[in-house]
Amino acid sequence: MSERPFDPFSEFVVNPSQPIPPNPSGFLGSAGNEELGRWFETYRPRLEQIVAFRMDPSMRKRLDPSDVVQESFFHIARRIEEFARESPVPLFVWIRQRVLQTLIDLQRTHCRDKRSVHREARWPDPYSGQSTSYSIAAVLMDRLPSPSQVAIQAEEQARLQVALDSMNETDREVLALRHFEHLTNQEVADILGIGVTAASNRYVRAAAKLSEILQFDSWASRVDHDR
Amino acid sequence: MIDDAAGIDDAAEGRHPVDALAEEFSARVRNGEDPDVEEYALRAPEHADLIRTILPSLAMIERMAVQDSASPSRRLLHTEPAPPSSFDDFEIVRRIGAGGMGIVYEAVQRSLQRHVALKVMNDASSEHSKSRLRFQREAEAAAGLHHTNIVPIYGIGEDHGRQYYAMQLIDGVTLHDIIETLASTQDLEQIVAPKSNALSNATVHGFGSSTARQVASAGSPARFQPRDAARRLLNRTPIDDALTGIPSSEEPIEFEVASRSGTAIEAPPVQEVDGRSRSAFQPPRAYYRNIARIVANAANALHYAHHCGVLHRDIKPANLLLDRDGTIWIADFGLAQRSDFEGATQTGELLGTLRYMAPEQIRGGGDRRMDIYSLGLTLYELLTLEMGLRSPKARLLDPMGHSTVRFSKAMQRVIPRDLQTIVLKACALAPEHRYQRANELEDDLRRYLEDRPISARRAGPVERVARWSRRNPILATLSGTSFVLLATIALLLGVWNRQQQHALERIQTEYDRAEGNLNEKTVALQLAEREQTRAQRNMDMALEAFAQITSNIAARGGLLRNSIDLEDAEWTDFADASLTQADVELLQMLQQFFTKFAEENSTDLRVEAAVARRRVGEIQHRIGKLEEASDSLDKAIGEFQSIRSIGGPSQRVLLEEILACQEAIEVFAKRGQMAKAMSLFQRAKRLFESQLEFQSSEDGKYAMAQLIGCMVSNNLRFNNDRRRRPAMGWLGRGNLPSQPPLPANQRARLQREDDLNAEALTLLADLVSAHPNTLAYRVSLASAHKEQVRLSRAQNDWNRADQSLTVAADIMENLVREHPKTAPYKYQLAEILAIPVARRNIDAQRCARGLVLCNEILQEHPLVPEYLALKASILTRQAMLFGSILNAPNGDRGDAGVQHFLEAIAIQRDLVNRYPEVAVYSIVLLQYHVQLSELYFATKRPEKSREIIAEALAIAEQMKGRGLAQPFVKAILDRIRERRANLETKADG
Repeated sequence: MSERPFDPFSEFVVNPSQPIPPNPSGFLGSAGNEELGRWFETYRPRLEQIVAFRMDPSMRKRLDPSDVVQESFFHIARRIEEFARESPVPLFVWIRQRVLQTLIDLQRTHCRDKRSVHREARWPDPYSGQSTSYSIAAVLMDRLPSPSQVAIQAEEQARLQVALDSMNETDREVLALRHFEHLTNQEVADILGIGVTAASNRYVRAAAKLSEILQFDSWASRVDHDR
Repeated sequence: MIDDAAGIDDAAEGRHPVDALAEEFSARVRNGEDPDVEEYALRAPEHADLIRTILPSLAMIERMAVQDSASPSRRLLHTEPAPPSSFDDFEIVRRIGAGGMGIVYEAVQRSLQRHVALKVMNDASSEHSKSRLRFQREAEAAAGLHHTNIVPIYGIGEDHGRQYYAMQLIDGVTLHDIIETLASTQDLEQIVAPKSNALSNATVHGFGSSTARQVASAGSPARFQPRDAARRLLNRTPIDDALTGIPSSEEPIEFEVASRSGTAIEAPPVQEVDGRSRSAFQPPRAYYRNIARIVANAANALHYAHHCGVLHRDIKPANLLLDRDGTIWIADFGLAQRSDFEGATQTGELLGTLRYMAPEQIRGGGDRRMDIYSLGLTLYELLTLEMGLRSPKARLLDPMGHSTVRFSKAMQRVIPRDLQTIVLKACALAPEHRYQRANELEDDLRRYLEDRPISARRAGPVERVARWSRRNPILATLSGTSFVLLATIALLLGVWNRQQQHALERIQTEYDRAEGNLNEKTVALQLAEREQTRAQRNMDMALEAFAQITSNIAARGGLLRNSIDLEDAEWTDFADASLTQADVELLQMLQQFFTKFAEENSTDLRVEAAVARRRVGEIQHRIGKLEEASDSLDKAIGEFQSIRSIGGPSQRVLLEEILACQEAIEVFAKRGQMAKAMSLFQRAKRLFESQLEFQSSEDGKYAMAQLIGCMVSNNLRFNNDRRRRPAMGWLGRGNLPSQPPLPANQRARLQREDDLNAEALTLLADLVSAHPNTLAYRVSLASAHKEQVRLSRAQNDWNRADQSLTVAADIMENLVREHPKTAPYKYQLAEILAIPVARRNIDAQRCARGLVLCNEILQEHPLVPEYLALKASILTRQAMLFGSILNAPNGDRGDAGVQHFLEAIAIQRDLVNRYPEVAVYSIVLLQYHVQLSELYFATKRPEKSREIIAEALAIAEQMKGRGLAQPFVKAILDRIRERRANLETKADG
């Protein structure tokens, strides 16, 4: 995967050369799977990114995101007609849901096999408000900063994590979708089932809130050091 | 700046203009560039501030997220060095979570082969030897805690240079998770009815359910999810009774998609980002009860820990776990330490915790009451799903200024008032205003669960006013202060007398509106003038509140007066017997109001001030401070006289003076000073007769009729009291209504009173014919006839008693017919019908009608204590009538009688439980017991009879223990014992 670096800048995010979602009916019939395969390949880097982000931290040693995405393709292929007929959401959003479902199923299977994982309990983790928070924490924890930046990064990570954790679920989710899953505003709107404007406003508001908390955080640690 | 961000549309794209810039900026950072924020600020100068605020944060996120995330194999854990695979006896299985102070692992204790949770402290936390020592000491203390609701600590230790402690692994979810889950769910049905939801989801998410089914059918229990826990809380099954977890087959696996991938498709996005516009959380009733239960259990645990000298210091939803069985567990006891905050700040523990800290704790102090505060806040969040306190920054700067919890209007409407009050008390700003011990909080929650009145009072009104005045010195003028007091009163009335809540809310609304109008219209008015108007309005509102309270009390007092056997008892011994605790407090507050009013307005609003003085006396009278009441009333009467002598007698002053006299007569009568009462009565009567205009006026006539009624009934009662010993049923005295012949002087006295009452009847009859639409006159006329019933009974004139009762009942019957929806009319009618006067079969018919009426009003108002009490009283009347008809009751009728008594006792016992402080209810309950024991005896069931007497004794002892109506209870106890002795002798003979 490292030989397939994901460059959202050129491909999806700013440049509106983002591929236009295909007509759902194109997936019907015998040519359907082929068409799906093409689209799926286009989405694959993003999907792997999303899976890596959403994966339960305790699973990282056992599951590889690319395997999860690959596995999900088979499920998706079997259901593509369903999408073609109903197409409740745009293709990418639909595929993302299926992939995440596959991820959950795989994690569950592993749960069952390996008695140690999630067999008994969950600890009162102040940061485990919801899975998003978990994922963010895990991603932040697992990042590899460049050696020169270690010190700064470590502090920034901690601050960011704290700030995100202290936000409410919706705000955190919106930021996660945009910055960790690298989704576009349109996709966020589709996933949340709201209008483009509402999604956009929500995002800006969440970002403003985050900034406010981050400012406080650095301020608070100053106060604390002064004491 | 947040406001700045809201609702700005870029018309072209429909996106927020800053969104597009932020997106571009983020993408560049992601691409390795270091774009200049100012460049973006220039591109959209109208949003420059917002841009400068958010872009640096976004850059921070991107720098974090941009690394090669997709290759797990190459990850290095920098902030968290790979943990050793074991600590001493504990072998790490997996990481469960991380907090500011350490990381929590699931581990296996090798020696005992048990799974435990292992909290390993960060290096940083272990650095300072001081904090280390403290950690050790606290952890040891916490390890000594053994309580069903505290996560047990198995042991503490140090290995690899890091401290750790091992504790029981709980199969549960945190309240934090539950709150988040509930808060992010738009439709509670999704949680409550998982099956239908799973179905609808299946169509969307479709595949994958087969895997889920495999998991389920394989029988491995699914993880206990916040959603399951939330469902448990919403479920009607009381959480205490739940013994098993939710079957895994019910688990809607598909939910995970929704919760993991964002709100997904089914969630309508009503929720505003800041949560403010979300409609209030409206769970089923059961939720509140479940919440109250688990928080009560947590409070119990807290109390236990406090008792053992261990403070928690970090109570918050994330530290409370709910397990599958519905048991609540408090985790991390005694482990949060102030000395760790420095370390914690960096990793953010402080932030998470700050939100739940008591203000004094933020300042660095605090005792057990800080834990109570934090638990109160936790309860708040469970009730509202919103943060009790926002802005942690502001809290740190000014803890006292930002630690007040509020319920929004919408919340107030849905959340049980008692729970609101409990939260407000637990989270009071000053520790001394909170529950002083955690078990007091628990007790109040249990009282709520048992539908008993809670001990917490909404605000300490006096203190609140005082504090408020200190904060607002300029506003705290007469009207300001008065208004706060009144608002508090209205609030209290709302809390305690649900019946009147609406009425008072109306008053409040009216008041607010009038206040608004006044402010608008009277800018031109002189300040003094405005103040005066306002003061007068405050007075009106206070009077209305007072009327509400007294009507309640009067109803309870009337019950006692009407109670057949107790009519003769020395009930005047305890003037306050019919007051609830709430009444007393309200009355005391009103007294304050009136006193203050009287003092502050003695020159400007002289009449009002005198009226206020009269009210003070009235209240003192109600709460049993007879001497002080006499005093206040005396002052009021004097003031009225002096006003009259200066400005001449206005109708209003005359009216008020007569009312004051009436009250004073009552008080004299209660103190046994009948001569004084009589002379005051004569004086008032002369005054009335000397003022021709007033005498012929509507108000005058009415006031005089009331005055006479008051004198007559007091005189009657007073003399009865002296004449007879309280009778307690058939064994104590012959069957009612046989009476000894009256001595001559008594007859003469009763004749005088008869004449007086005739006067009152004439006045009222005049009023009714002149003003047929004024219902109050008709009610009063009925009352006067009722008084006549009593007078005639006292004179052993049973025919006349029967006639008067028929008239009184007819008047009320008409009112009931005309106003079938007005419960008080039915109540009064039923009350009249229950007085025994005639042949038993007629009485029985009247009782039956009374019972029907009672049932009707109870159908509308099932909880009003007065109505319940009347029903119980009528039931026993009927039972006694059954008994009397056969003289020696047996067979069916005896059984019916027993049934009636049992029902009455059940109702009455319920009332006693709800209002343990109202002596009247307990006394009447005693009376029913005694009567039932006699009925048992008469139907040849001496065993039962003894049982019931024993029960009665227990109740009386209880009352004695609570210090209720002491002298009276003592007398009753003696009489019950005497009765028991009688019973034994008769049983033997």
